[in-house]
Amino acid sequence: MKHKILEIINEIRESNSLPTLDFITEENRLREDLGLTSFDLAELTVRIEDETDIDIFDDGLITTVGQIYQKLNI
Amino acid sequence: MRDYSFINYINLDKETIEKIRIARNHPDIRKVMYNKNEISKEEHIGFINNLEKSHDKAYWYILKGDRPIGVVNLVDIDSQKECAEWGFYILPDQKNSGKFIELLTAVFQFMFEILGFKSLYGFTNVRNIEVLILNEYFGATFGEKKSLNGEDFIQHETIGEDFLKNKDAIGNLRNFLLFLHRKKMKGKKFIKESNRI
Repeated sequence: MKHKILEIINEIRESNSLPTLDFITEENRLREDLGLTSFDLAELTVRIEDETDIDIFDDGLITTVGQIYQKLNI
Repeated sequence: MRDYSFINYINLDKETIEKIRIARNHPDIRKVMYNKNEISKEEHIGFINNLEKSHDKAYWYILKGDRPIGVVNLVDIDSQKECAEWGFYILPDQKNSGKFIELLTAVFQFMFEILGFKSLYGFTNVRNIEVLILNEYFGATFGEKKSLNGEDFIQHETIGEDFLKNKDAIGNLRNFLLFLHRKKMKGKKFIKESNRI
């Protein structure tokens, strides 16, 4: 699943003409380190929900990759 | 609207009023305001006190459950024409909520369905592309530009009847992403065709 998250983030980055990443770490911040905008976070939510049936933003904020992993228990 | 509540500033306690002042002074919020100055405690309290006497403006603190999430305001309220200028911001620490479509849908529902406004207009900085796109998605039509302190703002207006007819579809995040995708495609096609000329 962690690989899938990287794949989704890379697809979003590519659509914004940002280079793809070979890896992400739990400490990576979605906005500041990965360059995701509010609109990208919306896409990330939907893409992850499609894969897992879990709405990662359902009860609060997500700032880092580690918090996504926590939400998904991976 | 489920889970969202709108608390009029005049009903807030001192602690919350101060929290709002701190958020309002955050650089990310100040940079999109007409007045970019830092607001002092005295100014802020004076402003809230004036709101109690005012009939043409109102401010609400927005909560999702117990979580403060943003602020929405109306100024120049015209109760005859049932229209007003609106403004809105998400609290700086809530920007990573990924729930802005749900939130804005709740805001428009509150304004058009609960308060009964017929139309709302606003001015957005022309550089604030994300907010302009959001307004377009929510059905706004764009009008004249105005300059203030060397910056350009564009007027937009959202009609209540149009929003209420489509609110369920508009409130669906997937529809927004589809809209965004189409917009990106149009932009790419435009750039491609411009390069050909």
